[in-house]
Amino acid sequence: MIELKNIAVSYNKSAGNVFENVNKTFDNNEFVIIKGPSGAGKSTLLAVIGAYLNPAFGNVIYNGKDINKLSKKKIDLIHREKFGYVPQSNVMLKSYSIIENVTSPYLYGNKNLEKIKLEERAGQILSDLGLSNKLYNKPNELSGGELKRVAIARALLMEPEIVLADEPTTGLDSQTGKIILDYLYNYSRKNKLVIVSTHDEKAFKYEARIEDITSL
Amino acid sequence: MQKLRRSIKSVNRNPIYSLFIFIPLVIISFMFFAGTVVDQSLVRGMANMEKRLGSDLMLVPAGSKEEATSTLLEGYRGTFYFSKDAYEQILNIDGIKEVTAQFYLKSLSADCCSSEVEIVFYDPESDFIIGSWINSKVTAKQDANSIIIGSQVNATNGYIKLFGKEYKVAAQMAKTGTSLDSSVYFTFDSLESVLTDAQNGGAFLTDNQKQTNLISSVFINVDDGVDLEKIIENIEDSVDEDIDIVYPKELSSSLRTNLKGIYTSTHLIFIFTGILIFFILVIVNIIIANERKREIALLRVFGVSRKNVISILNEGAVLIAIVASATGCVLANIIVVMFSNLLARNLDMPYLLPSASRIILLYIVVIAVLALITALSSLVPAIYISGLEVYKALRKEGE
Repeated sequence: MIELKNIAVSYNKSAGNVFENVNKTFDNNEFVIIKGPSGAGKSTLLAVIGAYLNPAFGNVIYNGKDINKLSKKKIDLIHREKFGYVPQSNVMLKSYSIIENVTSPYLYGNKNLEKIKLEERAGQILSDLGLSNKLYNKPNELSGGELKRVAIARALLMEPEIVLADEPTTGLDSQTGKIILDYLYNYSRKNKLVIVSTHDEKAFKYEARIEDITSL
Repeated sequence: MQKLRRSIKSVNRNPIYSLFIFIPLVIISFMFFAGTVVDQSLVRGMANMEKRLGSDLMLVPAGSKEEATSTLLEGYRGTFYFSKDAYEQILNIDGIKEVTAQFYLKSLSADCCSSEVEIVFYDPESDFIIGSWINSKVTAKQDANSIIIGSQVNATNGYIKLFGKEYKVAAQMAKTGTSLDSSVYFTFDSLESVLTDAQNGGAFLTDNQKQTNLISSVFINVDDGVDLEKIIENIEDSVDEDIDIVYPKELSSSLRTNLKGIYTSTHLIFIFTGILIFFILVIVNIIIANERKREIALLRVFGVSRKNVISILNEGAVLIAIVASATGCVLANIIVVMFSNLLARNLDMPYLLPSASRIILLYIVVIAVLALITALSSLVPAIYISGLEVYKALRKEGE
C-alpha cells in the first residue's frame, strides 16, 4: 500500500541526513511498530510516510503513485480521506469543544460532509475511548491522556486506510497507554495499516511487525 | 452562519490579541468618520455660503467691515447702521444691476425659541438675497403682519410670537448651517411697529436702533462685464457718508483656501494614521498567525486546503474589523452630532452636517475599507503560515 524508495531526510544540509536510503513496503492489515531511541528519526519517518514532510531524496509510493508528485488538491484529499495522523503533542483547536475538535478539521471547506452524521460518528468513537462525558468540554479541561484519545478519535473519524500514530503513549499511565494501543491494534485488524512510532515496551506485546529505526 | 460561528470562535480564542486589533480599528474608524463628517460639513457649509452671499459688493458703514465680514461668514447680525440715503444715492449709478438694503436687530430673545433669534428687515421688492433661500413648501405672500423664519425657528400652528405679538409665518428658509437658520425676516413695512413693540416689551435698543430711517447694509450686483473698480469709485463719489466695501466673493475664495488647508491636513493625518494602523495590524496578525501555527498545521494534516486556512485566519480579523469600525463610526457620529454647534462656533466657518444618506454611505465606506485593510494585513502572515511544511510547523521545540 505504501512503499518507501531510497528515502533520505535532512532538516538542513549542514546537519546531514537524519536517515538515508530507506526502502520499505507497508501493507494493509499490518500493525507496524517503529521503535528506536529518542531523536533517531521515528517521528520524521512517519511524517515522510504521511507526506507531511518532503524527503530530501527518494519517493513515497502510495497506491502506485509518488504521493509528493501529486497536485496539492489531491494530497489534501488523501490527507482528508485516506490518512489519519496522531501527532506526538496534543495539538487542539483551543476554542472548540472536544467533539468539534474531532469533526471540524474535516468540515472546513468540505460541504459534502454532513455535520450531524460526522458528530454521531465522532461521539461513538469518543465513547469507545471512554470520553462520552467529555464531548462538550474544552481541551483545557482534559488531561494529557484524554487529549491523546481525542487525537486518536480525530485521526480515525473518516475510517482512513492508513493511521500514523507518533508516540501515542508517551507520558501516559500504563492503563491509558493500553487503551490507546488496544484501540489502534484493533483498528488495524479491519484491513487497515497502522504505523506506530514508540519506545514504549508495552507496544511490543502486540502481534506487530517491528521495525528498528536504527537499522533501517 | 457556520463561517460566522467560526469567526466568533476565532475572535474568542485569544481575547487579548483580538483587543489589539479592535482598539486601533475603533480609533482609526472614529478619526476617519468624524474627520470626514467635519470636512463634509465645512464643504457643504461653504457651498451654501457661496450661494447665500449672492452679491458682488456689500456696503456697510465705515469701521464696520470686520463685523460685516462676520455677518457674511457666520450669519451673525452686526449692529452697524448708516443712513438710508446711501441706498437711494447709488440706485441710479450706471452698471449696477441690483441693489437691496437690510436692517439688523441683533440677538433678541423671543418666545418662539429656546435661544435668541436675530431679526432681519428686508425689502421684498428689491431683494435678491433672502428670496432664493425660501423653502418652497411653506409660502404665502409676506405683509407687515407676517414673517419668514429660519429653518431652526419653530412656529406654533403657523404663527410665532415676538414681543407679545403674534405673526403669521409666510415661509420658512432652507437650512444654511449658519445663524441665519435661527433668524426671522420682516419686510421694512414692519420695522416701525416691531421696534415699538420691542421697546414696549422691555428690549434694550440703542439710539440707532430706534430710528426707522437707518439701514445696516446694502447689497449690490453689477452688470456683467463692467469695471468693478469704476463702479466702486462712482459709489464712493455718490454716497455722502463714509462707507466700507466688502467683496463677498473674495471672502469666499480666501475661505476656500483655508478650507483646502484643513482638508489637506486632515487627509494627511488620515493617510499617516492609516499606514501606522496597517503596520500595527500586520504585526498583531503575524503574532496571531505564529501563535496559531500548530493549529493551522493540524488543519493541514487533515487536508484543509491552504486557501481555506488563509480564509480561516482572515475571517476572525475581518469580523473584528467590522465590529470595531462600526463601533468607531457610531461613537464618532454621536459625538460629531452632539457637538456640531460647538464645532461650528469654534471653527468660525459655515458648517452644515451632511445629509442622512451621505452619513449612511460613510458608514458603509468606512466599514468596508477597514475590513479590506484588515483582511490585507492578515493575508501576508496567513499565506506564510499556511505554506509552511506541515510537519515542521506542527512540531514543538525538542520533539
